[in-house]
Amino acid sequence: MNSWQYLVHTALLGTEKRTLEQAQLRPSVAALLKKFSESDPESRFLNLATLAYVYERAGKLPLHSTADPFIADEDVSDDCASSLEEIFQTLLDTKPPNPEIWAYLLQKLAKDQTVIPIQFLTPVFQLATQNAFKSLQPLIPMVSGSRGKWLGQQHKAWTFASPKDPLASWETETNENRRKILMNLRAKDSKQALVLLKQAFDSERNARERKALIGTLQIPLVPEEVRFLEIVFDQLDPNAAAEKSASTSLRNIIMERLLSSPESAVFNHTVANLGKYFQLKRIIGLKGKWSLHVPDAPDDFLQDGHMQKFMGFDPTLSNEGMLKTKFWFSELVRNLHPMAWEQLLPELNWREIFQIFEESTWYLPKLAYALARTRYRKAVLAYTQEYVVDASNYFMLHALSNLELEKYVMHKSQGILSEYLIELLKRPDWVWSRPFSRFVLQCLLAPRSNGYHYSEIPRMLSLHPHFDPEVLPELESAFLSPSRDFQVQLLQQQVLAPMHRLILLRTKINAL
Amino acid sequence: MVSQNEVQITRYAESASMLRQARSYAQVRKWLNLGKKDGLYWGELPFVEKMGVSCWFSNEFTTGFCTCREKFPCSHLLGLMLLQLHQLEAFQSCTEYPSWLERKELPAEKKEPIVKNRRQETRFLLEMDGKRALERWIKDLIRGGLLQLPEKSPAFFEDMARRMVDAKCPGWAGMVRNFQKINYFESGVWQTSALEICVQIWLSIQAFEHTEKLPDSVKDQIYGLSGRIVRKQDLFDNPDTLRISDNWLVLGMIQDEEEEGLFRYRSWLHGTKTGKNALVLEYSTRFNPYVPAWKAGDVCSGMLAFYPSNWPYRAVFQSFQSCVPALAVSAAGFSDWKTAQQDWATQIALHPWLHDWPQIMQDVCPFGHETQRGLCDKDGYSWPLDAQFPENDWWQLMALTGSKAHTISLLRNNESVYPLGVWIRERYLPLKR
Repeated sequence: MNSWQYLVHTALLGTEKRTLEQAQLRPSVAALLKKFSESDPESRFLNLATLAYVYERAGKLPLHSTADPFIADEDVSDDCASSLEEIFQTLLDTKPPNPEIWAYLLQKLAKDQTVIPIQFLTPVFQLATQNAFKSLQPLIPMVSGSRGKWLGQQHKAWTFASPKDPLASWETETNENRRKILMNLRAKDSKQALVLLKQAFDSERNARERKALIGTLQIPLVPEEVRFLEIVFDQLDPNAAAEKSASTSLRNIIMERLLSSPESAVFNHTVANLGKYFQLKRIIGLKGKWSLHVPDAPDDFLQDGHMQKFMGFDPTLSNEGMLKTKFWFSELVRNLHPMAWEQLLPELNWREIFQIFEESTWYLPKLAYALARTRYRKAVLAYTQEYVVDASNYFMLHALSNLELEKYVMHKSQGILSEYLIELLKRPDWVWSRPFSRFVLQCLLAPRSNGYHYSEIPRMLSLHPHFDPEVLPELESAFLSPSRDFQVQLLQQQVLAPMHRLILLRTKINAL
Repeated sequence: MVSQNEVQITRYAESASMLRQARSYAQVRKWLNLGKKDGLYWGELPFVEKMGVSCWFSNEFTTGFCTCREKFPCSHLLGLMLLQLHQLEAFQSCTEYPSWLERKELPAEKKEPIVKNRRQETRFLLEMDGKRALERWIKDLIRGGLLQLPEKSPAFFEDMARRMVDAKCPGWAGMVRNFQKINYFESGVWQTSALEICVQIWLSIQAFEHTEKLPDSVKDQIYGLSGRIVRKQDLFDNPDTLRISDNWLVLGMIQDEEEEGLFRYRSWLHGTKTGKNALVLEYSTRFNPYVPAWKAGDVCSGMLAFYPSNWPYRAVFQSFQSCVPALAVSAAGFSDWKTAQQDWATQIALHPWLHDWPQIMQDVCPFGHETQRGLCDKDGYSWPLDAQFPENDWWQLMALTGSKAHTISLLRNNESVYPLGVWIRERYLPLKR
């Protein structure tokens, strides 16, 4: 025990109960004790403690460290444009922070292959852990640089900054995660993904899980994948008792995929059999006209038993009065790659093919054809036709180009933007045209039936990356003519001013 | 005819009613034990307040004391002075001072006025009274043992702190309140902290006791500790004030709530030309907010006026020219912890109450994980990080350094360090802006 510790012990008990003993003190400190009068023990103690305290503080030495620092892999450069630092600082100072503008900045950095300046790594990572900003996490590995990745390895909440190699954890991941890994890998390297898929499929006994694995093969397929699916389809026993329904739906999904691939034998077999349902009516002096004739009575191809097996439907199901030739034909139209019709009717364009379907007396083929075309990202049919593009065919809207979507929304919306349309308008990297920006703002700024705008404010601010910057001054002058109306002031403070700020930031980010 | 002395005494009275009251006390029948010795006069008024009051004064009317709690000089004291003027014979010559006067430790040898003017004299007497109360309190604590501290109610400390504020010693009040800031659940630590506070108070009051033997600069330092406030204007007007013009790098800024509703802003500055350290301290309340003119990492050109002290550290900008972010600023630092420790020891010798002394360390690297974090020098010696060092700042430090050796500015305290910023290729980046 050193002198200071001894003095602490004495102080705890008090001088009334414990007197200072010279023997317990270092000789140098004990020598000082003699200088103080014993008549006042408290003063004597405090004087000695004061000296020991100063002595202790001044003489304390650092410890020899045995810790092994975990050093970052490589040195980083802090040379970054001052404008970039300024943008980061401004965004960090903006209260409340706006997730869209952060995403906009990170996307811009990723595009320019720039990294976040090291002094802003920590605040950005902290921001990305908040619920409202979790959408930034996938962007961060692209812009965090080597220091950011190293930092992500140190902090358990920042692992998003240095994502692990998914293949390293392939064996131990859950089925759901394995499917995600497969889909991500397929986007980069379809061959390697197929190898993994084969392994997983062969080792998997559960038909539902097998179906889910096949589901990762989204169209379009590569030839190797088509061959794999053909082999699997041939191996599947349509009469297998175990998990029959799951097994049947597995056959069904494989057939869907094969019909979507012009390289597959199934596709070619189908095309070869469909030609007989189209008839050319020749009129002298005019161009012949094609028409569709699907018989009501089953023939050798559109026959329930054959189609059930062919399309992967459960053959044990009773089909009396249920499955008709036209239904089977519609199913084929829906699943077949639109190229099939171009092969069948090579002298016609897609509008003429659609015309044939449209003129048929039954509804299904024209819709099925429209769906198929949008499914394969072919040009979408007339968007003004309500039966082709509507809310129930949401993915059709996705197939529209930006310009088409603008026209569609302006045509369809009667001054009110539905929730699903607002979500559609958030396409990345899409800056609306000025008329459309004006239209959206007018929709959002129009007073609601209850006279309040409040509910639209956060939505409006979240859409700011898409507005044409030039539209705001126009709107300001239109909406904010000299008026003391409370709501106009509210709009100025809560919408237009922040929107102005955000758009200004966007302009600065673009100029980086 | 009114004598010159009587005019002087009546001028001491703050109001006509006070003078009227004083004249009513200037009657022999109201006083007991009127006495005089070596130019000191005293008496006791038995029928005022609860316990009666006792007063004394010197014959120059420049020093005096009354045991009442009224504003000094009180009507009792003025009454005794008037009585002495008009009825000197009522004061009996004594061979000894009365016991109550001796207890107040005002020996007759103090012929010279203790302070120069009446206001200062009043303050000094109040401070001396506070000093004695605090001395008694701290000795009682040590006698009874510090083990009683965790059981003490907040009122035990707060009463003493208020007593110090009444005695015009807010600095000592702050020291007493430090007992309340100790975490008494932190076994093995609070005991040392408590004794440290005790010895800091003791050293301060002992220094105050002996100020007359100390040089003026040390005297100012001691008065500053007890809580005497030097107004900024007085500081600027004083020709003896130490003034240093430099480009001041703001090493770091910390804002905390010292008391409820009272916010403290501390900025540590480092002169890039002179190498001088300075602390700029500002306070704000909710109704009187303070907006700093600088941010951590800025370089402020201007002249700092240092508060009078043997160890000039706390300062205020007397002239402020510009403030720009530090784009390229170099700083000489200590090469290892041993050299830095010598500097710390030097500062301790000048100011034993020292906390948070800024130092710049070259080639130190942060290391450690959650429980044990520190800064290690090139020789492998290390200081742990301060327990109060924020988690966010630690990660910022890691982001800036990559756990590699860098020049780091920090606040040094007793047993740990508190990093403030990092130099990365001549550029100073603070951990918190």
